[in-house]
Amino acid sequence: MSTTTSVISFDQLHEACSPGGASVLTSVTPLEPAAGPHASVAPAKFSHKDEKDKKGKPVFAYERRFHEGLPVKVVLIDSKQSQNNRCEAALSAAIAAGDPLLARIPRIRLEYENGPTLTDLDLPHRAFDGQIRAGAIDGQSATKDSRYRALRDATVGDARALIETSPVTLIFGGWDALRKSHQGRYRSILVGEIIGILADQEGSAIENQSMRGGARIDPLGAQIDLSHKDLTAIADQQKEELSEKTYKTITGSRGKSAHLGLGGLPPTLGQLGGVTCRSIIRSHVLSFAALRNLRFGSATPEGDVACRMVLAALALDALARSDAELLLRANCDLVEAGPSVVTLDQRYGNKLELAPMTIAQADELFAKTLAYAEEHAGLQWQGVTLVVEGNRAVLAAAGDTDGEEDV
Amino acid sequence: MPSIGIQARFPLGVYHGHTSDGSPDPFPTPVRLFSALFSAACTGSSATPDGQASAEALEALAWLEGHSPEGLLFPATMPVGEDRQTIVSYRYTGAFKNGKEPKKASKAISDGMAVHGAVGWTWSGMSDRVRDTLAVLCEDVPHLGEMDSPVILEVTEMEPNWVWDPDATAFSTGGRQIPVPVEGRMRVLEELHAQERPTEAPSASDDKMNQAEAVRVFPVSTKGVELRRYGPNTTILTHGSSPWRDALVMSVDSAGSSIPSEQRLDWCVAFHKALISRIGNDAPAIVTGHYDLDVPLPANRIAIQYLPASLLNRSQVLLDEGISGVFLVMLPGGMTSDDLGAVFTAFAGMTRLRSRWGALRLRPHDELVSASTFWKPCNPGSLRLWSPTPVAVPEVTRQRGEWTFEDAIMLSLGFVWRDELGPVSKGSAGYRTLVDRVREKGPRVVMYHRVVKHPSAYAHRMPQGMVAQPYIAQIDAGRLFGEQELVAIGQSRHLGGGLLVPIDVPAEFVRGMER
Repeated sequence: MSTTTSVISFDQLHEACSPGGASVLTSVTPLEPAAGPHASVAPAKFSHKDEKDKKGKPVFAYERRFHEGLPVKVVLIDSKQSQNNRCEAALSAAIAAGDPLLARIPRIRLEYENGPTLTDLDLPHRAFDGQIRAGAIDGQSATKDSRYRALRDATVGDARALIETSPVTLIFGGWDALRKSHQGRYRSILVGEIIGILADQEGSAIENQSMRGGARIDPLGAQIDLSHKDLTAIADQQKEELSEKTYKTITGSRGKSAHLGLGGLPPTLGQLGGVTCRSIIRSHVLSFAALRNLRFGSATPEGDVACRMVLAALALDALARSDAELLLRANCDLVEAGPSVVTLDQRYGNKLELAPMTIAQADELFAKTLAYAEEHAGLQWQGVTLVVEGNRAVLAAAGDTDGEEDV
Repeated sequence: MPSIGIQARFPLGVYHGHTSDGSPDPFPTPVRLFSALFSAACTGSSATPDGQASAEALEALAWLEGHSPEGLLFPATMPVGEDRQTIVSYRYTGAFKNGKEPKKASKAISDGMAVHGAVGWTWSGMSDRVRDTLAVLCEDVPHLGEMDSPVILEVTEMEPNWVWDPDATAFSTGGRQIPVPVEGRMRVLEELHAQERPTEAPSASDDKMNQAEAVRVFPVSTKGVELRRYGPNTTILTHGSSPWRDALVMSVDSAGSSIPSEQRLDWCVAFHKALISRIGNDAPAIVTGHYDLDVPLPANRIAIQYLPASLLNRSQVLLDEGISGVFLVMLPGGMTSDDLGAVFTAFAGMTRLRSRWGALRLRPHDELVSASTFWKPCNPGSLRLWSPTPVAVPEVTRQRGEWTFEDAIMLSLGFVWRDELGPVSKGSAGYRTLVDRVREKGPRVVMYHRVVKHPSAYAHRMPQGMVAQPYIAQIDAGRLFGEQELVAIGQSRHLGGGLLVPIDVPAEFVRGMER
């Protein structure tokens, strides 16, 4: 096994994207709580599905893994979906900040009149998201537009339309799940997660998690008794800021001043707090095998290799940017406990150790692959390629309560 | 002897797949492997520009259809989910509710299988041509199961630990029924693909948004699939210094408390009887303990022990939470493959157990656990001592002359390793020789304490005129056996007594505790 301390080179990337190339590139980073190993961290919350408890109570996901040859109990700190979303958010933020290189990424822009503007980097189903399908292009339904139809008719055998219009769909995955046939199915070429190995391996994980306290002190008085009439009047004043559900609760027969944020609340330990971990590990896998399944209608095989290289380099750029930001959620501040171990798995036990990439190095590689693809595949990335007008009915129906997702 | 096979490594340490009924898939089957290779043949580097498999790829896949894997490599696995509760996350489906509100659906997480090492499928008689073609197809398989379980596939030599039993019938029990592709499977996959991708793509009208959108899943078919029975490859069972080389694990499926110490022997006897009953008249002597007079008695035979959940966490075996304990069927070295097969078959079908103390529901654990690495390694900086659970019982009475209770404990160790320590004469002189040979290996008794309550509850049979003297103790094994070995000692070591459980004590404390 040979080792090197340089980052993945253009030539190594070229070889990996060519037939018979490396299988995967892995990046494993040891993390620890910013306050030190004694501190607890707040993992992602999920929902416990129970026949009796239809709503589902929030829970941490405790799992089991083999670590250094031993079975261990772990907690899922950040899921695979969440890690990919963070990569997309990092690209989106760089584009919003005016990064001239990343601004060249082709993307679909969804514009709501008197509402937000989103791109396929923000939408959960990327090019095939319902909000795009519900929109309009040049005044007619998006699903009738020839440019959008070309995206839906693309295949892994010829994904040219997607790489020219929505390459993030090819990097982070997309499934045109509602189409009756010819569904576009693209797996994410990048998969990652963060797990924490529990400090206490002996006891029950659930019994050892801490609970978070909550209380409110109202300087006016511990109890503020309002009549139903007064409650309704105050709720009416704030109706614009209240969700429909909250308004109904306040004005209902069981409405209380507490629902309006008035009066004191006694301290309770009712919410999930944190978990102490003996080590925290962030892992990412970039699959070159998945990339080699993609072709782009290029005139020569080299053109397809060049297109794959652009996608791989962009994925590495997104990863470098995402890894640089370790703010996951409240009470989960992490720092790196050591450098990332980056390995190119060349199969049959041959591994090449590489240095982790900085954002600048990732940008440099991405720019180089883009120039190479322009020359060998005729790929022209010039930013936004498709503008979709958002559907007003969808905007009006958008709710503001979203308590069931992991955060 | 190693065979040619395809090996799968999972870089994230988890295999995540589902069976056709939606339940988590415990193992990537040969059918799943075949589908992945077929997909790679149509989309990978060897595919033609119009998405067709090459002639070489079709030839190799056709060979696989006609040749079920003869061996499987099952690494140690365990469900990622810690218990049987369903944890979900809510995700947008990409569809709309009532044509305008984004629709969310729950998706189970933590339902993969953690794998310790590579998974594999092996064949004999594979030609170099097929092998080389499969190697190319393997390069382009990105995942097995769900897209979030990336995989690295390689063609290599490996030793399978489960082998196909070609003589098994639909009525054979034990082992695992594994679906394999048979002739015609490739055609089924081609038809499904054609069904999913008819000549014409949907029209603009077909693609229009509508009020009742629903996710359309890819059609699946079980045509071209047959079940084959695979059982443990008895030629490569692991063997450490323990006379028992492997153990079968049976969970006691109960949320109640563990079996009390004084009832364990009774339950293990009941388990033993049930096992013999299920094997039938041909139950081998290594299971029954009834040897012909002209056959020299081996030092050890099959042993059945109960391990409560509180001690199970010292072992490498991880089972669902909520179980109260497990029965271990400890398999000694020297068992023939026929004897092993009889035990596996009888074990697989046991679901209930009755004794005078009541009834228990049983659930077999699929894996065969190596006795040489049964317990977790010793904590750093500590000395591993061993304590019998629930107690151990000496096999002999006090001997004439100088003879201590510690000698009796050493003799119990000697009886377990009698076949390795060399022949000794009969009677008291032989016992002393055996004790000396044990002491040469360095074990010592740090402490012991006789148990006076219910002594008869801990001995299945005692020589006439001898009174059971159960004891608890802390024993340093010296060089006699390894720190992760599964061992039982004493009079009832074959049925519910004398199972040695590790205790890790700081070395300084041990010096202070020495007798």
